[in-house]
Amino acid sequence: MLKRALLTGVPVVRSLAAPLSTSTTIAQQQQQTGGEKAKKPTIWKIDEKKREKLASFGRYAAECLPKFVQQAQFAAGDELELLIHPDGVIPVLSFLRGNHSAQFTNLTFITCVDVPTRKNRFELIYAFYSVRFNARVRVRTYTDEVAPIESAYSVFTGADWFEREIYDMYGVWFNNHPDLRRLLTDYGFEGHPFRKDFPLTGYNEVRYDPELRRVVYEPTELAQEFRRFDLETPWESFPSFRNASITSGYEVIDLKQQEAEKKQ
Amino acid sequence: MTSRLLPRSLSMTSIRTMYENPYVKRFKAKTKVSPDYHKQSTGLTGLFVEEHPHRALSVVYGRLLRALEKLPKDYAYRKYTEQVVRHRLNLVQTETDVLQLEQKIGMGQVEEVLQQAQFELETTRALF
Repeated sequence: MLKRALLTGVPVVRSLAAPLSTSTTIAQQQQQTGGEKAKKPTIWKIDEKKREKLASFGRYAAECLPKFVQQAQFAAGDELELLIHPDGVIPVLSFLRGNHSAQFTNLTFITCVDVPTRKNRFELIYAFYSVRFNARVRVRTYTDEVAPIESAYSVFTGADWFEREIYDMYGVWFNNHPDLRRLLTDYGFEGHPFRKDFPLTGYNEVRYDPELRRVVYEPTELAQEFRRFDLETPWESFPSFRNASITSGYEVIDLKQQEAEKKQ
Repeated sequence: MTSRLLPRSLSMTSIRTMYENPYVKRFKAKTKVSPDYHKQSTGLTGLFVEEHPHRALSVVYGRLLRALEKLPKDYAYRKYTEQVVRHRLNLVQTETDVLQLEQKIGMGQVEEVLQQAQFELETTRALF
């Protein structure tokens, strides 16, 4: 009884009872409920105040570490990124962890991207979270196949396995890592599978040999030639971005702005 | 070597129970908080109650200022950090009540403030 009484009198029922056809947009649904309570937008809304704070933090970090921070930028609207020189991994990371106005004590992840066309083909990305200020920042740096990079282990102990994984998958060498060895691949595995030049089929295949009664490794033999499928759509996917550069999604923070303000 | 000399029952790994595990031990309080102190726990794992925060904070801030003095004078990091540290040290020296001090600093519990200062000290030393 109580349930029925609740269901009849309340205006929410209308929106529940209304047939949810695919053609009804959110705006129409809001009209149906009569706009009694403002619904939260389901898309991510950029908080301008927080963005301004992050921008000024980017400028502050660049001012404090002028030797290492090359650029500060926003990706996807409000995600702060610091682009640093590979020599500056330890100073920048310890600054982010320890400084009173940063306190990025949580290392969210470290990852790597392989772009073979670049001079320094590997791009390392460190993501941090500040529990104190509820803010995130990403640090990006670069290296190539032979240039080693300093391990973040001395600052963030959690970097241990992330760096092992990167070493395993991309072959980036980390200096002063306590235990740098393969993490995900098999014993005796050769090569780095996430490199763009690693073949899709791999070099070795594994099968159980009933005669030898063990698993044997053999060079990959394909019954037919590796075929190239054309998987691209015949239609253009993003016509409005035809002439846009791939970096146009980034918004570079002007590092000189603060100094200019001070002089005024 | 020791494992060969000692009988198996006395080797390190077999004696060590889970509670003596160094990783577990790190999160256990080393000393007991006196019963008349205003709190028994910080409520945060691995962060223990500091009963004499004024003394501890002045020591760490003193070290920080000494470490910062080694940096060049016009360096932005030194300038900003000294500003913050001087301000907090001043509050620590003037305010005797712990709860009031926490309010004035506005960075959570005094143990967290102490931890921040320690992190900052590590940073200052790592930078140069």
